[in-house]
Amino acid sequence: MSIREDSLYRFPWSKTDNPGGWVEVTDDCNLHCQACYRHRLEGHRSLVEVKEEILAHRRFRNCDRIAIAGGEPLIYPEIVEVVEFIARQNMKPMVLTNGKKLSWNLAVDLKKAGLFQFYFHVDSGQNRPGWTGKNEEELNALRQHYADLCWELGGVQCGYNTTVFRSTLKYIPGIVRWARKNVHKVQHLSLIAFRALPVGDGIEFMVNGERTNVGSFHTTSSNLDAISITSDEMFEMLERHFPRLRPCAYLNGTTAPESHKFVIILSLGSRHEVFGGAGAKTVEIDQAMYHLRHGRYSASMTNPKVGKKVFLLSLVDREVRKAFSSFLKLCAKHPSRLFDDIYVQAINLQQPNEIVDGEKNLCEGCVNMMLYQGEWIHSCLLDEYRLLGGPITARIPTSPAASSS
Amino acid sequence: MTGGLEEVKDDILSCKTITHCDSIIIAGGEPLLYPHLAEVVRFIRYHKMKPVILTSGEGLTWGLAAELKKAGLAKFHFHIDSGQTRPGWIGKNETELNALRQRFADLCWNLTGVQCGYNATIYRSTLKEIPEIVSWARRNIHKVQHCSLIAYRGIPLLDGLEYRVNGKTIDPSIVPNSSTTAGEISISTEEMCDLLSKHFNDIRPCAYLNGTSAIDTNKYLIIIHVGSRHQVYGALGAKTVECVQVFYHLFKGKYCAFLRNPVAGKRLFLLSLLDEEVKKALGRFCRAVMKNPLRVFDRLYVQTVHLQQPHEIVSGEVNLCDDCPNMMMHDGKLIFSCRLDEYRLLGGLITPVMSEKTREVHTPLLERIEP
Repeated sequence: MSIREDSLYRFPWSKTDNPGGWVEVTDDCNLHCQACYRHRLEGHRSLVEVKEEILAHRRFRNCDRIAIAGGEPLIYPEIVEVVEFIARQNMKPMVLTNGKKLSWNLAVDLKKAGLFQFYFHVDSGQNRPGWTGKNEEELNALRQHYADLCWELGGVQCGYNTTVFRSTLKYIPGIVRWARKNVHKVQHLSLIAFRALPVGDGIEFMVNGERTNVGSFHTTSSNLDAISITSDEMFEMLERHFPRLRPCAYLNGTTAPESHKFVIILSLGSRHEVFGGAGAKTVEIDQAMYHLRHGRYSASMTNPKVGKKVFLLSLVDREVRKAFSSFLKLCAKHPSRLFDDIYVQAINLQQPNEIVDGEKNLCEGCVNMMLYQGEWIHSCLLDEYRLLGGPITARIPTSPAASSS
Repeated sequence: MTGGLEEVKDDILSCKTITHCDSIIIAGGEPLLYPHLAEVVRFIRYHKMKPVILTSGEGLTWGLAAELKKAGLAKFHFHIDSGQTRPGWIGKNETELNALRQRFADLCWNLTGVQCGYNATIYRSTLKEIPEIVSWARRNIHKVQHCSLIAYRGIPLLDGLEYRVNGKTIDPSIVPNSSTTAGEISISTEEMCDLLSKHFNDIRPCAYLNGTSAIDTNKYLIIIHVGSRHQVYGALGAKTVECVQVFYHLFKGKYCAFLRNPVAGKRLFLLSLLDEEVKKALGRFCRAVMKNPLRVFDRLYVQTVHLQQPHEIVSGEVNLCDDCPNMMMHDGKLIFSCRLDEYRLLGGLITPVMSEKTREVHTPLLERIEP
């Protein structure tokens, strides 16, 4: 079954009222990932500049959460201070990291500074020492290592990013199965379709109205099939293995509004079992109530241990009703399950920055916007500004994303 | 929407599918000239959306209005301003044009069940008259549900700024509304709001849409009056708008373009529990009732005043309304309706290109942050 928009909630996020902000502290990194779109041009950025950007996010975008990204943020010398500064501004600091430099002590320091969440980027395209040649399912052992670390640390949420290539698409059910087994330890899993600039005969790129050469970019591909995985395709693959999986919310594309750039699946479960999911009405009520109460939208549940009160939403949400029913059936078999804690876990399917009909199709209401030279840009376009002076448009004989959908 | 009836119907269905819209604006050109207008209105209504006609009002007869009402029309939006060279009204200023506005407001009032709104393009030369337009609208709060004051915009013709379409430099003077006078095309919603605030002490914007490239611009600033036919008591605040949008979406699965019934009733004052502006309006209403107890039986209406700053070039980039409510289908794609003629006349979107020298004049956002 394909994704049906009429059963989904479209997040009401805009450029100026958006739960997510993105700050890059460095473009240096300790890994060389195959899919990385960031180039090493500037190294570490000044703390003053980083703090100014954080304040701008709070003021202009009404953010609830700031993603500290890079490069690899853990090699940034003032990372603890950045986390502390964000928390002091009453926003949730989240570190996007490959985890390589994460020690127990650094994790404790970051927790003390107010860290809300680690988001570990783990996938088989990272050339990670000790893990080269491992497939995505084998990498679940590494994911487990970080999930256990966060669980022991307590009070810091744990999320994962995984770039999905055509060759690794078949493994995503294995990653999701692992995440569901760890619903109490893992709060987020983002499966991000690999994207690159398509190169080939007849394809021309333009910046600021002039033809440009994209030869300086890491991520170009002449294999259009390799860069055309969609959120819908990932969902269909997952649905074959988890027939009760239902997406509940999405963000559409800017130029192709029918595309699902960001699709969210919420699972409800205890450490023993996933009972089911939450539907569109639950997300809508959560977003509306959070905004009415706090004056801004939320990108993450403040407390993933939602408790049994979540089942009250079964009055308005059919998906929650189904989960509640599964929970009751389980309790009838094993009454001790009644005392289990109930957790929520989000799986995000993402189809990033791509070219459709010659124009960039970005996430409308993008949670990862950043400041660059005083202007707000989609963070995935940063290197187009840094290397070419502006965002790319293209003339493509047949658009890869359009043809694949 | 433009084109043959089947094409128009396809566009309506595409808009509904893609944007889950609550209302469809039938625009042009002049929609009243379109021979199948009543059928279009009926089709929109049949698909459970609110049909709105944007018209100059020229050619609107009682018979046609009644036919459109029967087809399910929700609102007329009359475009009236002094830049229209309208027969019989040439040389009249905006204040004098209130007589024409009154004529259409009375027509809708007598028709009943069809709301009445106004658009007026605001030029630098007519900016000073907007308090008179709003004052007239406030006196007619029971008859007029909507008033949009739209700042005039054009393509700036400046040294160091050139325009390209599909990689080729174009002569921007071929585009209608190109202007060499920066002051003429720079009226902002804040400027209009400041001017109105000087004349009406209860003017408070409650909602906005930001710009796409200059996110600190208020492209759409909304003021919602609450009052009876005798007096405007005040405005609604942000929390009321948020509650209306949230609950409308929860129950109907789409956002609200405007309420079908502008008679809000006194239950509106319940929102004073969480909205400071409504509390103030309730205070004024109570004082009016104390002076004249018959006022307690007055019907309460809401009226929206939109201040708009359309399609413009800011710091070398096109600045549009983020989440524009006026998007349209063109060649199977959803586009900003204000850019339709870039596709039609030039074959693609205009990209402004600034020279380095011009770029230096632009103040980066970070420098605009107050300490």
